[in-house]
Amino acid sequence: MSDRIFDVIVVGAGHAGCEAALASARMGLRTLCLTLQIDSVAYLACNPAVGGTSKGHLVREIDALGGQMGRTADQTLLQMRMLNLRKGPAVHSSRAQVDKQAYAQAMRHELESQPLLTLLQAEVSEVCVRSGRVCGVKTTYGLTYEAPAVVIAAGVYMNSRIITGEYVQQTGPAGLMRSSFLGEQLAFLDIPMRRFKTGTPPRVDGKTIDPEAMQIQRGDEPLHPFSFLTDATAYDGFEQDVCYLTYTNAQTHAILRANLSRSPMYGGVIEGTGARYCPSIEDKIVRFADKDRHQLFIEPEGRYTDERYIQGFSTSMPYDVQIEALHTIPGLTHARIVRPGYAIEYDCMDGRVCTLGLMVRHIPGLFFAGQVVGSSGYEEAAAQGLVAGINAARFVQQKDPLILTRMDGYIGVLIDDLVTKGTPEPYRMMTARAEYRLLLRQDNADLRLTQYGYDVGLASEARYQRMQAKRTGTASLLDYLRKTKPPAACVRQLSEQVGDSLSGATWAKLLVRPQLDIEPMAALEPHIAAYAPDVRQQAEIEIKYEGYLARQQRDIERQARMEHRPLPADLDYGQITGLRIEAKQKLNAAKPSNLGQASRISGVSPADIAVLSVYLERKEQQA
Amino acid sequence: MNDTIFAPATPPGMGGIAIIRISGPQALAAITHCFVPKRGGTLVPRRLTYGTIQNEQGEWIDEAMVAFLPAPHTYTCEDVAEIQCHGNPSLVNAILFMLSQLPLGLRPAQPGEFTRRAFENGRLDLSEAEAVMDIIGAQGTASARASLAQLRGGISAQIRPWIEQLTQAVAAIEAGIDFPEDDWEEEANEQGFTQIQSVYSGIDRLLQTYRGGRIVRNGLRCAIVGKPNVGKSSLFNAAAGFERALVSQEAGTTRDVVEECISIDGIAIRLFDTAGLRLQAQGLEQRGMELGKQQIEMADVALLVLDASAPLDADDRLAMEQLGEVPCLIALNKGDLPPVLSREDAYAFYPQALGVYSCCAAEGQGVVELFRAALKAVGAEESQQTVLTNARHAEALTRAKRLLFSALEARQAGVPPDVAAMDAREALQALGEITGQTLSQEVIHTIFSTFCVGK
Repeated sequence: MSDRIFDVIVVGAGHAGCEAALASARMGLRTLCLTLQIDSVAYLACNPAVGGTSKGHLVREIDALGGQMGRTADQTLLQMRMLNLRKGPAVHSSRAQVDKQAYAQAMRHELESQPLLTLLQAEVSEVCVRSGRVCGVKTTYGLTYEAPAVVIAAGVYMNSRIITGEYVQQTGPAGLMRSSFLGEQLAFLDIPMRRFKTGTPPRVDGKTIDPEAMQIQRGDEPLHPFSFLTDATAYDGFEQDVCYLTYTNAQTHAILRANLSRSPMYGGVIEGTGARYCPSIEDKIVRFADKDRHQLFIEPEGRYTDERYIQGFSTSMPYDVQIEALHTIPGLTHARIVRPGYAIEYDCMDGRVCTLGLMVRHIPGLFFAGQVVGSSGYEEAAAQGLVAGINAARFVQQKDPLILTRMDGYIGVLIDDLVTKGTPEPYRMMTARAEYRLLLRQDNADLRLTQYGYDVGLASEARYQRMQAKRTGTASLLDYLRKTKPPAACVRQLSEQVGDSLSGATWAKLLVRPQLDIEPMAALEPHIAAYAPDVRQQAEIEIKYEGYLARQQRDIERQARMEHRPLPADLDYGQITGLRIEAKQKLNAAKPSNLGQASRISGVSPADIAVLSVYLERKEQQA
Repeated sequence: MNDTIFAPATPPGMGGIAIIRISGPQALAAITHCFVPKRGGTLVPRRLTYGTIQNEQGEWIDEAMVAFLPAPHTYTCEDVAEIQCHGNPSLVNAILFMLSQLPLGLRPAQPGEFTRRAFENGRLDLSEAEAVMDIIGAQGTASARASLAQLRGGISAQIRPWIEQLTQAVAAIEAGIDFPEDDWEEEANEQGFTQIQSVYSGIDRLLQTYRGGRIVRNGLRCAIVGKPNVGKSSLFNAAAGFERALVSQEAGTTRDVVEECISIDGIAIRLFDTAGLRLQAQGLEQRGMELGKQQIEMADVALLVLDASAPLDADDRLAMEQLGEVPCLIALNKGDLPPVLSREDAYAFYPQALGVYSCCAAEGQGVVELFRAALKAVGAEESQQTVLTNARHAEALTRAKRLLFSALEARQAGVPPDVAAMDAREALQALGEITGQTLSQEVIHTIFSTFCVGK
């Protein structure tokens, strides 16, 4: 039956699944997307927000490659803020509150209107493998769908259960349907599985909160959208929603402490490994007992709902404890819980069996992406979904996979961390994880990645042209700034602003000074003003941070040399004298593709790398 | 598979015993070929066995004790055989020649090759391997002790607390970046930069000991300077404890630069006795003076010898002018004769002197004190504190210091903290090079364990 034969099958329509399915279809392949529950396509199960520190970077990179998340977030946002504005440009991160329902609907609409993409509600019970290669999937309805490439983006739905106090439910998040068979079958395919946990806060009725008792938090004016294709002026006159800031106090902590024995985490009911960066409120008061208050943000969930999300109050305490604790908090003293917070446990796999293209090494054609690999967060999931979708398509096209490295972007850092180092707990992206942070900025995501997106056929011509224009414009403006001296009148005006006399310098030399920015210069010099604002921003950054950027570039070159020393795929590390036993085991298990990747495997020390290096040299000499 | 190497393990020259070491897969075969145990039978591993060494023709070369040490518990982790023979150079050479002629493909080891194999086979890490080389190369007991301390992790012990502090500092700054909406950000930032300042000062102090440490390791280069017949050679001889350079009443007897290595308090001092500098010098004497000038330039410290029993003259002045920038002490020699020059006169003559010491070289009085003072003056005294002796470590620490300074400066200049943190991170990496750790994961762990970060 030809309506059950596809090029690519994507299991799951969460944030990873949607990106994978759209990418594959847009690259011209017949794609089937299977979801447990069609009403929950692109469901934002936890925080009604997209972006944040380092996550904003991921969204921009997804957009630069031609992925969907940024555009959908722009269409459905309620508030937008740029974080870390007082710090360097490398860590400026966009964060948007979005309308949960609108977001999910908009994304579903994208899938439904995408040619070559079929959306179907069904539970996948089995991945079909024949002669060591993937050939399709089987659903609980008894039907088989064939495809040479399958992307599994099962999220937190495999064998999941949610827990609030003593109440346990064998469902996915928020009572949605879960997957009951796939997890077990994957273990039979020699895919290492483990169990993670995460949690979510209660939602309260917006009519029952007291905004006057809390601090208001507004969005940025003007607003900077995520997507490189979204026109910022479209938001003129756009009314942004507000958030509120409040704090827990000693009373809150006392209630939580008194009830710790009833907490599933401390009462031993929960087994999965939780994330350190997303501790529940009970975790926080136990681990940081000396803090007398913890910050909470009250966030809107949508334009057409009164539900409010309490960020910072993730919990699985019993319902009565949750309500009692909330009532001690300023602004929430009369709050009514609409949905209680809960913890969720789920099966996921260990990404270290995957290549840097997210394909399972021992089952060609099988890809994994998203929280099912052990990451957390919508943005982390979407980034992986995009890469897995592209590579599933490339696999079918019999082309080389798209591999993004740590030097290409946060997506590269994310995948490398998951696949090379592995993660013992739900992985959250942070800027601290990126070694080349100064080069991997939100503002240059397009310059770094759109070429790749264009080459695989995903980034549109319009997007590509825009990026090219920015690139040539930046080069031209930099040239001008470095070679031209401002006229005396401008120098005088700028000197006044700075309170210092500046003479004889080029525009670039002036721009290096911390007190001077390019916008005042554009106001004085029409030639500069003629360039687009994003081009001016690029030129400013290049000049202000020239020394640091050059250093990072040198680091990259040095590291690249390591990355370009390939290690044979069939190398038996047990035979190499001089490696420690632990290193031999880890290297044999990981099969790194080059010396650089080998150096990042945990359990492989610098001395082991030195030994490998000597070994490679000797092999080269013998050859 | 490695080939089998051999080399003498003892220094060349005559001695009671010489040891030849063989390492590699053919070690046992080599020994079996050439060694005949006195009591017959086979070699028991790790037992010294008495017998004779023969060549391929069955000719007797030497009596020897032989031991076979099977891998992996040996210095190189390979099979090792040791031949302990008489310490006669020609016997040693005969054995070495014999080994090279065996039909087993043995070859002479390259310098340091045994230690290199120990490193490659994982028995030593990089720092330890260096320390072994240092201990072998050490020029005095103090130096050996410093190297032994390094082998036992002395420098690491000093650096580890800094690594912890710096990791905390970086984590604090990074946490502020990745979780900017949490309310402890400002405080964490401040804390971070305070810790950076503290580590910077600590590194600075340790680097000060490097100069002293290098001298501890390589020996103090000390030039003895002065006009003819002021008693330089006597001083030299007194220090060395035996006649070394020709001493004669006639002016200008020491023509060449004579070098001697002596040991004071376990620290090696390399003494250079220079030709007496004289205005009327010519010919050979002139050449002697040229050599002397070169030695002075390369010296760590100079001793300007003055005749306390005679007034200062132009030749003294000439000698003093040769000193240049080298730190110098004054030795008021010939203390056995009625003094004409006082200490004040000496200081007035050469105000930059680091000290003035009286002695009578001919009688050997005050000489040891003079040299001790010289060592102290350049900070090379024997002390129990950790002394930095290794150039690689000094280089890494210097780099770390420069980066931390840059981070602190950047902050003052208003550069955003995440950019300043780049420098701090690189400094952390530099410190990690010394202890052999990669530290980037530590920063992440520390962020989570120290700061209550939330979603």
